[in-house]
Amino acid sequence: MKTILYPTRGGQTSYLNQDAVIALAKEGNAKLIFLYVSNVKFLEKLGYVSHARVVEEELEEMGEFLLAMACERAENAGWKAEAVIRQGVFLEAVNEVIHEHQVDTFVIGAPGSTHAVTTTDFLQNLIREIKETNKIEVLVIQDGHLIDL
Amino acid sequence: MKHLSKRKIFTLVLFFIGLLSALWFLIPRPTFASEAESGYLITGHLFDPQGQPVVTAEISAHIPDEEKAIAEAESQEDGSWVLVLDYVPEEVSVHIQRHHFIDQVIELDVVDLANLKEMSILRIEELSLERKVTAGFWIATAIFIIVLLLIAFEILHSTTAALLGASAVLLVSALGTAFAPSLYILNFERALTYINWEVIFLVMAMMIVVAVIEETGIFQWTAFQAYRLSRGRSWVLVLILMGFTAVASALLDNFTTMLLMTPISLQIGLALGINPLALIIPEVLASNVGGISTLIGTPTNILIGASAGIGFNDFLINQTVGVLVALIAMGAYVIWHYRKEWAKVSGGISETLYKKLKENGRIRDPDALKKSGVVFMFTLLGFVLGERIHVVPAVPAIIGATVLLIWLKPDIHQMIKAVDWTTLVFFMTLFMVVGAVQEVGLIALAAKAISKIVGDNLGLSIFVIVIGVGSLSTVIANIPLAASMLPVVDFLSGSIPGASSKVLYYALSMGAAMGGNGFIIGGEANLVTAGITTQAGSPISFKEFFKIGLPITYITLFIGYLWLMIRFGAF
Repeated sequence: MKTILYPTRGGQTSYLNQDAVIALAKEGNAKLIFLYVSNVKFLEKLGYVSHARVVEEELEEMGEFLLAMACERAENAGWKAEAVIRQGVFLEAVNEVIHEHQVDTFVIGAPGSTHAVTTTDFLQNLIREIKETNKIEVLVIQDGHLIDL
Repeated sequence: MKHLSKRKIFTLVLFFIGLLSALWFLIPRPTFASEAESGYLITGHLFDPQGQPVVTAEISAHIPDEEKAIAEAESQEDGSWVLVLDYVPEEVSVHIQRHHFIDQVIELDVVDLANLKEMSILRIEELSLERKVTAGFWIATAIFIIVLLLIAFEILHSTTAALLGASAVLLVSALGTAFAPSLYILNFERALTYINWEVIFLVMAMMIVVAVIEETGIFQWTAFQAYRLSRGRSWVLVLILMGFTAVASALLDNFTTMLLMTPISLQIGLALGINPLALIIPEVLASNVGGISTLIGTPTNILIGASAGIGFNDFLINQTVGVLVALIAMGAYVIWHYRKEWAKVSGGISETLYKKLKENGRIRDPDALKKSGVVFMFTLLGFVLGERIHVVPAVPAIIGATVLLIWLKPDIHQMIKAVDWTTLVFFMTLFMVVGAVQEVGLIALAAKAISKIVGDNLGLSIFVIVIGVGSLSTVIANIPLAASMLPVVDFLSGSIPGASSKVLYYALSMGAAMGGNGFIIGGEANLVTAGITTQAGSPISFKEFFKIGLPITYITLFIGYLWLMIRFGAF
């Protein structure tokens, strides 16, 4: 059974992509893992590292909720998904999970027509790094459709 | 955490009382130089053109053909000085020198000297020293502007920018002392006198108190209860959340409040099927305004309170009604602005998600909550009652923080980490930079310019400060802004009829805090909220924030202005 890894931040704009990746997993009879990576680096920029520990805990609980919502979407679509939470640098966390769960396909959402957090440059670099490091298939989805980036 | 026995509680109370008594006896009683002096005394007072006392001026008495002074003194905090002469010579001149002021020489005539001989004391009339613009003036001004720009454009972290400014001022002054006196701004000893230690200790103690409370889960629990109470009506929910963040910000601080409220509010918003920002942005707006009603609610209030001697009760009495009316208007605007969102509410959430939400909104440490609640209530009581016995708010805050550390025994390393040293260093170095421009006379010039615009009109002064500072605060960080404006308000409060009620300080407090709502970059609570929402795929765009933030800023500023006009009878 193939394993698909899909990192998500769980915002409303990611729902379309979540549905698409659920459909992809269902179609390919693949195991689906939703990944949430939190990073409190923004506190460093603001000069409030003293709150980092509490915020890390809060973000972890928030991530659990966001992924619980994503897993529920999968369940409603008739498929089962797993949730994995990590903290720290996104790329490192992704590589770690790919290795630990022997992921075959990495799916990533591209900035859509609505608000998005990630930029195209960031995505292109990320995809190149993941392909080079893990030698796995990388797919990109935007507004619920697979695209070529 | 073990339960405390009655004996331990009794020991704690005794410790508390003992500490208070020790503080009472340690409060220094004022002493007067003249009490300790003997001989022939020449005394006087020095003021600058704005009527503020001139301190650390060098005063010396000279006799003809003698290079060395026969007596020397330095002006004190109130501008007073006392020269002590061993004998009364035939001719004496008094020389007054002070950096950034024109030197003055007073020749004592025969009558003065006869009086001095007969009475042993000669009082010279109050002297107003004229300022002079030196190279140091321009350098200090340039450093001050550069620091503000570095902070505003985020070229450097605010602490690094302020530290750089303070270092530059001290370096230039050191060069001035050694090579070119006109470069001199102020020395290290003088710079230290501009640091308001009351602010530093109050901020530090409150950081410890907040660090303990933030781990209890009270914020998350309240948010979840608000969700339950609102029964899916998101417009009711947003009003409850706004009310809670306003109160929490007034009692703790708005930064921490938003840090803890944002993740749980985000989950609630998503669970309801609405844009979570429709809950979170109003919360930030309410947190920025709610803090205005207490001394400890915003860093700017701490700064203003400590500098102007405005206590906890004064803020509560003079600001709360204005803040409440502003919050009601804000609530109405929020309901109207997000009216389409309220219609979107989904049917409800699954049992699994509800359980998860409930779990995330639980009280994490009930014992710590009880204890920290008790200590916090006593600390608040200390703020209220302390004023009556002239105990500054920093004292109950330090005692409260200490009692919490002893009673709860949290990991002391974690607590020390919870103290935000970068903020404290920022405050200290910013005080030095603002002190430098005060020293060279820039603030006096600015005050004079504002004074020319507002004249003797108190109402106009309130308007200019509330709206002017509010508008500046939308783009400039409110702490450096308030710190720079304080000496200006000091001057205006002393010169405008009716302003001795300290109304202009309240105007500064309202302007600095309410202005933070204009843009996402206007306040640290806004930025930390944006940081967290980005982590959940719901970033707050600049446009999205200012579309609601800017109108609310001016609505609340105008309400604040009207309230101060009514409260202080300035119509």
